[in-house]
Amino acid sequence: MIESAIWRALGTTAHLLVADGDLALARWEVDEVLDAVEQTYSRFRPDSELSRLNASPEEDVRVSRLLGQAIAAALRGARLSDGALDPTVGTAMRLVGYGEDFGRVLERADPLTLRVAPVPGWRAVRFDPQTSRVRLPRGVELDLDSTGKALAADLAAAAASDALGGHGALLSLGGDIALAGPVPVDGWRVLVAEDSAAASDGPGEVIVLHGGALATSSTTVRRWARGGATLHHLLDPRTSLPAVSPWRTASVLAASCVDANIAATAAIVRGADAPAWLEATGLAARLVSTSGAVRRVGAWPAPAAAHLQGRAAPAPTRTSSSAHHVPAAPVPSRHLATEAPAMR
Amino acid sequence: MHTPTRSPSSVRDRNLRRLRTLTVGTAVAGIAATAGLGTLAARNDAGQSAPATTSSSSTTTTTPTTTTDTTSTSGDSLQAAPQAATSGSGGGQVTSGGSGR
Repeated sequence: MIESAIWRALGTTAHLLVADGDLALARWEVDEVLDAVEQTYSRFRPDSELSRLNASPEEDVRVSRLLGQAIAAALRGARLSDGALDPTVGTAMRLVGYGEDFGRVLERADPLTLRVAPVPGWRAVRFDPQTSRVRLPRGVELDLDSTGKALAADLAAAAASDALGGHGALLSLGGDIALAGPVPVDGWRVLVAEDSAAASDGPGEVIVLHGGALATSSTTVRRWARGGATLHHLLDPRTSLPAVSPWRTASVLAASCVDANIAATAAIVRGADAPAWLEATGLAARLVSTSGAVRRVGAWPAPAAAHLQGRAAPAPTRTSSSAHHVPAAPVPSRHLATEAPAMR
Repeated sequence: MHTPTRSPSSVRDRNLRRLRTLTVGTAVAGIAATAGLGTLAARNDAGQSAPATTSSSSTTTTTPTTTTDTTSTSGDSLQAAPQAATSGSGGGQVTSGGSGR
């Protein structure tokens, strides 16, 4: 019998499903991991290990295993996305107004001075995974939020499954979903939405996971206004500004939540070439354009006929064409549009 | 200022001989231990080949997933899900969507 628990963690919502076993124990194990993550690489805690690292430029700093994992995941994401993801956006994130807990970000309205310039770049980070030593150049602040949340989901889901004696578990951290252990025969049913706060039994496209992980990145959430401009948290490393993309939401299936998150966020930032790039990676994806058109890539399943509300279901073969539209969602302020230089 | 004194060559040669003796002795002991433990393990657990075909009448409620590196902090490419997703109907059990953090 499937049991579930929902609670707040890491500034977002944790949703744990277990196929069997002791739910309370599994949740306890998840919290242990998430507490460690919070203490290790939260940007918003001045006493976190990451904050201390960011405050120690030009020093060889030996980091904990967990921070080393998070840095390794972020650097790998930067490399595999050709720089579309970049953990050196820390300073840029502060400059666009997201330098504190999101609740406080929403309370501010005073103008910002935005600067169009590339971030320092992930290649500037010196990290030796063998010795767990990191060296940041002066002026470089790491922000591990993107891949860090996905890594937390992967690690916590595995911890939950272990606590359940190897039974299956699904953990969603703000819509980034990791699986661990055996999958129920009917799979895990997931509503694919633009906002992870949407009720899972509400209307929309449902897919069934039989393994792997699913992550969604969207510019329609985590938005804030400063001085009349609307901003969001997915920064383009080429400009240090919120990405201006033809896609407002990207959902990607991958073997791990980290890989799914890398591809989903990179798809938003890469923009027009995201479908071709995703095809090349071999990952299944669902992109929602700023106009609401849905484009499926790779082995992403065609929607069930019921979801199409009477429209003819597409052929079961893979299609990359727009199958339907989803309701309009706010899009980034166009005045932030810039001609971005080539990806580093 | 203290200046470390260099060992006389005779002392150095003696130490090198001791080190070589120790190295050879360790290697011989290691080989002997490996052989001994291997024999012991073979006696206690001779192993068994998996049958070419198996049959089962039991009903399970879960299916095993392919083992993957769930942390994905290494690897030269993004890894696809081991099993493809399928379309579903009715409500979901959980929602995937944007959050930021």
